[in-house]
Amino acid sequence: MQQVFTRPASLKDVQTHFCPGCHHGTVHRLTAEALDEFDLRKKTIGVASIGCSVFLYSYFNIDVVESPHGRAPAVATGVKRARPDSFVFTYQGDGDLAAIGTAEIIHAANRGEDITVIFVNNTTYGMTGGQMAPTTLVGQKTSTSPYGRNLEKEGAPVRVTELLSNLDGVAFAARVAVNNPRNLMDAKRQIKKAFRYQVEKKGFSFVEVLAACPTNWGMSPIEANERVGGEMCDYFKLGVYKNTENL
Amino acid sequence: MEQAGTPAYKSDRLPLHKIDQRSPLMRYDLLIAGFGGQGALLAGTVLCYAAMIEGKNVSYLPSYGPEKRGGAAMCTVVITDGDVGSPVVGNPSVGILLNQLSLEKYGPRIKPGGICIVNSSLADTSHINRTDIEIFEMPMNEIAMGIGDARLVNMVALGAYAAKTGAVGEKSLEMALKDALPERNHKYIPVNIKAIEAGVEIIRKALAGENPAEADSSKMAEKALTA
Amino acid sequence: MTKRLFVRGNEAICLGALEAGCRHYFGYPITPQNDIPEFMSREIPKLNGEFIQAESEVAAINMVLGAAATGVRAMTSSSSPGISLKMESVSYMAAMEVPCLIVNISRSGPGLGGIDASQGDYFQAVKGGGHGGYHIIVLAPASIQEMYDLTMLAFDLAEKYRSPAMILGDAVVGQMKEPLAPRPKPDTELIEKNWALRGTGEGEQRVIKSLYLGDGELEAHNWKLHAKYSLMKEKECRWEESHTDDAKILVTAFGSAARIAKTAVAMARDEGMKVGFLRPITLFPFPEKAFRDATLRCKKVLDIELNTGQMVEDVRLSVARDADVFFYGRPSGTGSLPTPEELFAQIKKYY
Repeated sequence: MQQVFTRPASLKDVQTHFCPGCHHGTVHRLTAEALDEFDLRKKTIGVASIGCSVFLYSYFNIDVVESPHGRAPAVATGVKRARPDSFVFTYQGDGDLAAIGTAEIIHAANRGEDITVIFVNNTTYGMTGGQMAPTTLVGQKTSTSPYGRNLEKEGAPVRVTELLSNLDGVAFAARVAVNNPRNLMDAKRQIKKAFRYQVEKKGFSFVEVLAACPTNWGMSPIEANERVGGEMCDYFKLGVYKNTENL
Repeated sequence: MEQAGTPAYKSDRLPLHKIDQRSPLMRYDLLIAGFGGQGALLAGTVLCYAAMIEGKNVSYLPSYGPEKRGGAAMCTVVITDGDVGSPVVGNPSVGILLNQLSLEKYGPRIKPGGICIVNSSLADTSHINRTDIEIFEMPMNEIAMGIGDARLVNMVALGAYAAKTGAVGEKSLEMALKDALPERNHKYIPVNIKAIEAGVEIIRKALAGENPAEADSSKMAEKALTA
Repeated sequence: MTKRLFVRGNEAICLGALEAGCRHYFGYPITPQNDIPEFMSREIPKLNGEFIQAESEVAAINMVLGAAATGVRAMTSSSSPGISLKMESVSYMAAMEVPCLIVNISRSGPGLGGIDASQGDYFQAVKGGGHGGYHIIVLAPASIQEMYDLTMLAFDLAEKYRSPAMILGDAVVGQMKEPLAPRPKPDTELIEKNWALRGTGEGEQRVIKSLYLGDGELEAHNWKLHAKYSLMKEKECRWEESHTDDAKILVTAFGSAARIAKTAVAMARDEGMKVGFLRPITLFPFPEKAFRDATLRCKKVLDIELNTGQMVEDVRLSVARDADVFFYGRPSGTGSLPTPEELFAQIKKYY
C-alpha cells in the first residue's frame, strides 16, 4: 500500500493545546513540511515568541530558544550571527511582532538578516484573552475595544507586509491565508519560497499568514474561517509583495 | 582559584609611603588643567608613559566638560613605586595651570608646601594670595610659539614639571612621546622634545636665580634649543 | 615580562573579553561606556567575530541571548539607564541559565541623572534587577588591571554557573588609565556545553526556555537556581583586605570608591590610627564571611559609597551581631566625587 499522507518528521507526535478551529496547527504543519522538504530539521534553531506560539518547542522536533515578548527577531539575529550555517526562523503573532516588537522586526529586516519570519496575524492577542491588537480591524470588538476599534482614537490596522516591503533589506515578503485549500496550497508555496531565500543565503524573508482565532472572536470555526476569507482578506490583501530574486 | 574564605588579595601595602618605614616609597601627585586644545590631557598621558618607562606605577584620571572642543580639560596623575591608591587627588602637591580659569579654580586647592606651575601668557597670578606654595610663572605660549607652535604649551609645562620635581627623567619624557603619540604624529616628536627641553631650561635658570617671567621668552627658547 | 600597556578601563574590558574568547558583541551607544562599542567595532571584524550596533538596548541584550544560547561567549555593555532597559532579558537569561557578560559602566541617577561616576546601581545589580527573583554574578573592579582580569573571570564564572555575569564599574574605572599587564587567559577547565543550541543533528532536541507550567515545575526550577546561588556564596566570594588584624575601625567600599578610601586609610595609618580595609570584589556573591570574621575582632565598620547607602545593607546583614556599621555616602553628580582627605575626615569622626 502506498502511504500518501504522514506527519512531517519536524513535528512531534503530540496533541496541541490549540483551540478548535485555530489556524496555528495548520501553520505549524506547513512550516514543518517546508523544513522537511529542504531537509532542514537537524540544522534548524527555531525562535519561539510570546503568545499561543510559545509552545513551538513542544510541537516541533527541533532546537528552540524562547524569546521575550516581541524580541524574537533580535534573538534570531544573535543565533544566526553566531551560527551562520544553522537555519533560523522566528514564529510570531501580531501582538508580539506588530506592537511590542515593532523595533526589532523593522531593524532585523532592514539589516537584511539571513532569517525567516513566520508572522501569524489573527487580529487579536490570543493567549491573553482577545485584547485589541495593532492589526484589529476597525469596528472589531475585542475585550479592550468593547465598542469596536475606533479609527480616530486607535488608528488603522497596521499592514506589516506592506510596511516591511519598503525596506531594502527585505528579500522576500508575502501575505497568505490558510482558510481554504487554494489559499493553503499557496501558503505552503510561499513559506517554502521564504525558506529557500535563507537556504540560498539571499537575505531576510517574511511570510504573514492570516489566521483564525474562533475562541476570542466569539465565532464557530466555520464562521471564523469565513471571516478570514472575507473582511480580513479585504483589508489585508493576499499576495507576494517582494521577491527580489524571483525564486 | 581561591578557596572559600580566603581573600583574593591580602596586602599590607597601602598607598602612602610612610606606612612602610623600611623602604620609603616615592609618590608624586599632580593636577594639570587648561582649556580643551591646550593639551592638558596629552601632557598627563606623556608623563604616565615616562613614569612607566621607569618601571613605576601610575594612574591618570581625566575629566572634561561635555563640549567636544574648547571646554575645560583637567586630569590628575599619580606616580609611585608602590600602590597608587586614589586616582582622585583632592589637594595636589603640584598643579600645572594653563589658563586663568584653571588657576582660579585649582590654585586654591594646591596642598600647602606644594608647587604651582602657571602659564603666565594666559593667567595672571597677581591676585593669588598664597604664600604657602611655590609659584613658577612662565610665558608658555610665547615660548611655544618661539619653538614654532602654540600647541607645544603642554610640553613646555611638562619639561618644567620634570625639572622641578624630579618625578620622571627628562629622557624618559622624550622616549614617552613615541608611546603616547599615534604613529602618524611621530614626525612631530623632535619639536615636542625641543619644547620639553625649553621647559627644563627655564626651571634650571629660575633655580639658578634668573626670573623666567622677566626673561625675553623667544630668546630664552632659542637658547634652550641650542643648548 | 610583556610590556605594560597604558589603557583606559573601558579598553581593558575589551582586551579582557577578546582574550577570553568573546567574539560576539551587541550594544547601543550611551555615555560613559562608548569606548567599548567603538573598540569592539574596530577589533571584532579583524577576528571574524560579530559586532552589531543594535536598534536599542533591548535588542542588544536579546542578540546576546540568541548568540549565547548557541554556546558562544557573547557580551553587551551599557550604562545605568540602558542597563534598566536590558533587565527584562537579564531575568530571562537567569531563568534560562544562559551565560553571558553584561558590563555596566554606571552613571549617576535616578532618571537621566548625569554622566559622573556613581554606585547608584548596586541594588539593581546584586538584587537581580529584573522581575521574578534571581541573582547574577556581579564583579566590581577597582583598577585597570582588574577591569581586564575580572572580565576574563566573569566569562569563566558565567559558564561555570550557567548564569549572566556583570562587571559593575563607573566613569572613574572606565575612563581612568593605568598600566595593564595583558596576562593570557587562565587555563580553566573546559566545560562541555551540553545545553547549547546547534540544530539537533543526530541528537536529541534541545530547548532553552523559562516557561514552566507543569505542576510543581517552576517551584523546582526556582529551588534549583537558589541552590546555585548558595554554591556561589560558598565557592566564589572574593575580596581584598589589609590591616584587619589590629583594626579599631574597618573601612569598606567597592570599586572606584574603594580606591579613594584606600588612600584615606593610608593617611590614617600614617597618623598611627588602627584602621583596616576590606573591599568586596564579588558583590554577588557578597563576601559575608569576610565581614563576619573581621568584625569578630573589630567592632566598628565605616561603609563608604557613591550613593546614599546601598551596599551598607549587605554589610549590616553580614557583620557580627555586636558590630556598629556607619555610613558615609556621596550620591554622584558633577563635583560630588569625594577626595581622600574628605574620607579621612570621616574615618577620624568614627574612630
